Amino acid sequence: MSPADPELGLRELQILRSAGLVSARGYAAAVSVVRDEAFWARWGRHALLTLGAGQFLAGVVCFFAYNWDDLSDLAKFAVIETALVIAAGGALLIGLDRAFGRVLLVAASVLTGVLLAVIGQVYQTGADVFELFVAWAVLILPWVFVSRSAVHWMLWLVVAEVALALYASQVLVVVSDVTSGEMWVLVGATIALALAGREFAVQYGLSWLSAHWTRLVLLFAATVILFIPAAAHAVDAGRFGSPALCLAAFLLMIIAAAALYWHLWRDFAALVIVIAVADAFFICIGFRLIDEAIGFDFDDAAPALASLGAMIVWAIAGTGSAALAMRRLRGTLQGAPA
Amino acid sequence: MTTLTAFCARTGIDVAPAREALNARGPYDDAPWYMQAVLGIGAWVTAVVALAFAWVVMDMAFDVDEPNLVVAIAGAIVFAVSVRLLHHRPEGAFTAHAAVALATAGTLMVAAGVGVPAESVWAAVIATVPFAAAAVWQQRSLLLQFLVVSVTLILLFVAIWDHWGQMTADLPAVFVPFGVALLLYPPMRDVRPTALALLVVPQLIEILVFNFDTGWKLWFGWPAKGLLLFVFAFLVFINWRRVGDSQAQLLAAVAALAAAIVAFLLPTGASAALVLLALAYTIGSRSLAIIGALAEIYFIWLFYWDLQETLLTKSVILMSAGAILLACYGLLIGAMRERRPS
Repeated sequence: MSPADPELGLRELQILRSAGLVSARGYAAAVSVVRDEAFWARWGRHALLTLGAGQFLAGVVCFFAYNWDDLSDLAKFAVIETALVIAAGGALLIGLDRAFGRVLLVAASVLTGVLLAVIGQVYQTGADVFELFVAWAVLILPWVFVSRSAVHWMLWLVVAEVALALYASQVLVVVSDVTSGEMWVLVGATIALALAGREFAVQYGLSWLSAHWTRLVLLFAATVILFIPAAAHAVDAGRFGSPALCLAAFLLMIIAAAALYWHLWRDFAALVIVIAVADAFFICIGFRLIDEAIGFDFDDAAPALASLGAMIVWAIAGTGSAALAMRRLRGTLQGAPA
Repeated sequence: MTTLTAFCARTGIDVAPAREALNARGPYDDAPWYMQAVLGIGAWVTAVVALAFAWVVMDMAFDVDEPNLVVAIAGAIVFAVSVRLLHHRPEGAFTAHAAVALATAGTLMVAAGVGVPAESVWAAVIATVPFAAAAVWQQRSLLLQFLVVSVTLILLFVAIWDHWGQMTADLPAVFVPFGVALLLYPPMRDVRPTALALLVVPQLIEILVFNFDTGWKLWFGWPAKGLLLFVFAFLVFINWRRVGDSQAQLLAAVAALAAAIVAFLLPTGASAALVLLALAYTIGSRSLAIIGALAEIYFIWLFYWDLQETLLTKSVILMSAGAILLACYGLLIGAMRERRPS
């Protein structure tokens, strides 16, 4: 961005409007000059495709949900397998270099899960639910690789993480001495690993994974999942177990993410996620400290006023620091690639 | 993105005063939306603790059992001091955050201090209106504007529901045209947070409240859908005028008509989400596009759980709607391919 000839966005346009240089009637036309025409044309097309495909598939689901009990087992399999073949065949025919082809392959992956669920329902296999998700994740993995689609990859990750979480809660927690806290850390850590894999892959030229939202979604999921048990320990609520591991994993994630997205990849939006979660944890710590030191006792005026007053100061300190950090980082990272 | 000189050349505005206006921007709160969201949540947390603090002070120090005029006056003073603080030290991150949180808490104290003794939610709404106006008038914090206007809107919803004795599901539709108008024809003061509150807060209230209650709809929701689709048609018309050739105009009109028919068949919220998507496209707002997309997904999902229709009827509606939209997509792609060689 050149200061002599700055780029204009909606904020700058509002400044020109406030200065009276753009009229109220001419504002919409001025916006059309400023906005990224190519991006919004592409967005409009994709919105139409997603809305259409989403509603059509939802309609198919409703139709079979209505008739499901009346269908014979053979008919149930026939319906799902036909849809699966149509979706996969359609993807092959149209080609995965086109958006519609990729959407069809994603639909085929979803239908694979539906087929597995029906197999379990019809044959009463007695398998644990996690086995269904494991089988689903394994079966669709080749499609995920060939599709070169970030959405498809994200779908696979959700299925795999659900399988892992179910395995941990149904087997590890019951059979072994694994605590609930360790289970949360395991799930959060694997998402963090997926994020690391995404960064590594993008560095080595895997451009289809480079969409910014993939980084933000994975970072948000990993930090929030690691935050929950750590915060529960911080405020002494819930029975997660393994406090040291939960706190260490959360702090490690926050520090590593802050360092990497500040110095290495210079991504302001990612840093906002890190700061927000760290701020929430800071407020939880404050709550515990004030509770231990003064106590939230509302029967007496002095401790009630002192504890709530201290909490206000702590919350202002936490969010004020977060605001300060974000403002400074924004200035530093301005113009850095997202 | 367009540069200032390119923009001025296309719109006929002088470059010098435009550059001067951009350089002269004062302590302007122009953080991106996700940063504002983080700060907004922090401000809410602080405001809630501040309210609890005020309640303890009133109860234990002044023996005030329930909110009264003293609480309202204290709230007004907190608001005034906070706005003054914001005006004088807008750059300080701690003071700015404290001022936004305390001003929001002050507004809530005024609402409670006036509304509870009068046993009237309408009185609480009327009491917050001057504070909402002041929050719009101050231009230091867009976040404060959003929070205080949101408080007024939430109270207004409660007042209307309390007055009619039942929840009205269509109410959010009334606010949408105002939000759209403020974003398309903005006044000289920056009212984007007010517009966003008008567009989003009523939808959020509807989503949260009608998870627990089915609510009442005027004439099965048709007037609300009609109003929303009128706004949608207006937005389409604005974009349609900008399209160059007649074939593209025809395609755009067909696609818009298809989208409108689809929205008309779905719950009212889906029409509101469609307006948000069209507005996002018109003004090039990615944050509105994200909100609109999430709302559209939610309302289509809600339609599945709606008990008023059988699954068979729903499946026919959804499949027809999807087929129409996919046909439009196919037409659009086909037309684009035809045009590419020339």
